[in-house]
Formats: sequence, structure tokens, C-alpha cells
Amino acid sequence: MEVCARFLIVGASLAGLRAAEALRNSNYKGEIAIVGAETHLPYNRPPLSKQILLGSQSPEDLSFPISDDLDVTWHLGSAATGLNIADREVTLENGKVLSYDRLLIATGVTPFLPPLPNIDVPGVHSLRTIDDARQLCAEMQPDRRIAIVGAGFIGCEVAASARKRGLDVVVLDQMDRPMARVLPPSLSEVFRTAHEEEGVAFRFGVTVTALEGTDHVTGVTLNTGETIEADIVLIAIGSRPTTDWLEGSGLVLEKGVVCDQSCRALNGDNRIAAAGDIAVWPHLNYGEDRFRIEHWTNAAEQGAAAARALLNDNDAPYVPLPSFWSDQFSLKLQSIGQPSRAERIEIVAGSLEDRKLVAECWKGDQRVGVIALNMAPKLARYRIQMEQELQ
Amino acid sequence: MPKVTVDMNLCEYHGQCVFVAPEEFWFDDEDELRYTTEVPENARARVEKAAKACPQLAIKVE
Repeated sequence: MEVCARFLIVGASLAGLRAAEALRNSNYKGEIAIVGAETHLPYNRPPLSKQILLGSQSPEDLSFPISDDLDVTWHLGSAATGLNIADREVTLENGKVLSYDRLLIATGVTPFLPPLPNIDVPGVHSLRTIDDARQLCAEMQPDRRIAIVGAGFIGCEVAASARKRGLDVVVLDQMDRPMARVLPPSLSEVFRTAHEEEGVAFRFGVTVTALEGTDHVTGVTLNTGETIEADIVLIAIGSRPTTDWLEGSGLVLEKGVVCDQSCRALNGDNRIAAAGDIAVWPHLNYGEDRFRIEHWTNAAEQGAAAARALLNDNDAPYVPLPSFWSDQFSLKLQSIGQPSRAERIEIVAGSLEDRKLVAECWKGDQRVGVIALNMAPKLARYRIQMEQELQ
Repeated sequence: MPKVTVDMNLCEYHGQCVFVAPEEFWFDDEDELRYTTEVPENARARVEKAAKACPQLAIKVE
């Protein structure tokens, strides 16, 4: 294949930025262009549900440092709308057409808004971007009532932030405990108790059937027929990969952009790769199944790995150790590996009562993950071990 | 020599820096983060990598 002269990155967040940095670190001297749907340069999203809502950090604090040597042409404020693989062109919303020799897709995910009555009434929010956070923050005045639909990580983090701001908070979920898809029951219980002590109310085992209000939201109606009054509603029931612009392009789309072991998109002529929340790839140490990881560290690492795979045309497998964290009230959770696959956990330091512990997560005789609660430094040793197991 | 600072108001003890650059960042016996404030030029790339790995953007290298 000819030498790459034009490297196009679609998606101006963490994965896209780390991809560009990896190219320059690999001594790539050609052109790099980055397309972003938002008007902002890449910024750090985790504080959006915490420090930004609390006002302890300002939006400017979230900007990633960008070296002058990166020499990137930015196309911001206009989303990609189409990909033509035969002509090697990406079309933007503003009509621009950008050509490429190599293309990295890193358009991430979009919050899922269910098609419920009145879902678009003012006061109903989702949280993904800095603009979303600003709008939500502006409405979060003390003594107002917020109903949070979804007790996952974002829902629970916003619940903690809202409670700290003095709002009345109720969290609704169809499951029977918070963060049920990821955490073992005993840890969900620690979080539930901590939230309730701080005044957060939970309603589990319910679904929302409608939002109420005409000029502004006034509440949510549940499948039980009951209506819960609220001045603000946050929908936090997960997200969907932003693949609409790739429909009909010929790439394989199945809950994301389907890739090979080194993050190159299937049917992409070895010129296209995907990274971050949108990439579905087979992690060779975790069996044949392809999956996606919607976490910060993966976006950074996969962005760099996918860019190098494209640039060097190599098929080294991308086999990261997954990790994530969450902060809610005084609870700091950190996880490595795949704790959601665990059949049982073994607490090897601290205790549930102290809300300070290290838990090994086991499936059969295999340690699939480790979780630390308020004991992050203790994870360092495990991280080194588990990284070595992946090599 | 490159100077390293960590904003301890931002640090959340994720330990990404300890993992990337264990010679420059470590947890002590009390689980407090310790780090070398001045590193040799040949360690610059490693501490810059640690700064990029920090989810809190708490590490500065000058």
C-alpha cells in the first residue's frame, strides 16, 4: 500500500487526540485532520457528572493540553454525515468533503433517549457533552427536584452531585439495585446505603412510561401508574454508538463498528480503523466474542493502538486490561479486568462494613477482575500482574 | 531537567502514573502518592506519558 500522506480522524475527543499524538510519536510527518461534531477542542468528559455540576471545576479546566508540534487541521462544529470508501472521502454536515489515505473512526456514543411521550419537553436532559452539562447545571438549583432515570454510573454520579447541591433526588431503575450490570450485589448494596444516608431516594423495579408537562417537565409516570413529580429529569439509561453517518458505507455495523483484532474495520480495505466507545473488536485474550468498552482508559489506549495499526499496516492484537472508576459521595470505586463476568467475589483486604476494600472477582478458577473501594493504591500490584497475564 | 508537579487537589489516586512510570511515581507505606519533582532528561518521555494517562489531568511536566 502507498505511504500515508493524509490521515483523517473523525471524532475530536480523547481517542482521536491520543491517535494523533501516537502518529506524531511514530514520526509520521504527513497531514492529520480531525473532525469534531462539537465546537470544542478535545476535553475531558469524566468531570462532567461531578466537578462541573458541583462548580469546583470550570469547563476551561477540562481542556486537554495539546502540543503545538501536533500540527493538526481541526474541522470542528460539523459532524460527519457520510463515508465513501471507494473514493476515500468523508462528507461533513457543512458540505465539506475530506479525502484520506487512512481513516480513524472515533465518533463515540450518543445518549439513548427512549421514544416516550414528551421526551423532548424542556427540563429533560441527557449528559454526554460539556454543553449538556452546562444546561443541566444551570437548572440544578437547591430545593428543586430531580428525577434520574437509570441507576448506572452516570445516573448515580449525578445523583451524588445533585444531592450535594441541595436538590431533592430520586433515582429510578428497572433493575433491583444500582450499577447492577457491573457490580456484584454486595457492592451495589454499599453504594445504595451510602446514597440513602445522604438523602437520595431509589425506586427499583420500575420503568418510565411517559414524561409529564408541556412548557417544562413536571414529572415522570411509571409503569405502576404512579407519577413522580420532578422539576428536572435526567435520562441516563445508556447510549448508542454514533454510527448513523456510516450506514450504507459498506462497513460492518453491529452495535458499533466491527473491527479485527488490531482495530481495523472489516471491509475497510485496511485503510480504516475504529477506536474508543464505538469500536467492536475481538480481545484475543478474552475469547472469540467481540465487544466494546465505554471507558476513559480504553479510549486513550485504543486511539493510539488503532492509529499505529493503520499507519504501520500491522496486525498486532490490541489486548488491553480494561479499567474504570467512579466517584460518588465518599466512595471511590476502581476496577480492572472484567468484574461483570464474576460468579463470586473474595474480599482480600478491608471490609464491606468499613466501605474500604479490595475484592478479587472470580469465575471458576480464573480471576477475571479486581475491584477496589477507597483503596485504589492497592490495585497497582494487581494491575501489573494482570497486564502480564495478558501478554 | 524536567520538573514534575501533581495537583493533589485533583489527584484521585487512580494510580495510572504509578503504573506507567513506577520509578518516578509510587505509593508509600501509608498509600500516599509520592513522586520525583525533578527527573533526568532521559525520563521525560516516561513522565509525559504518565501525565497523559492521568484521568484527572493532575500531572504537569515542565
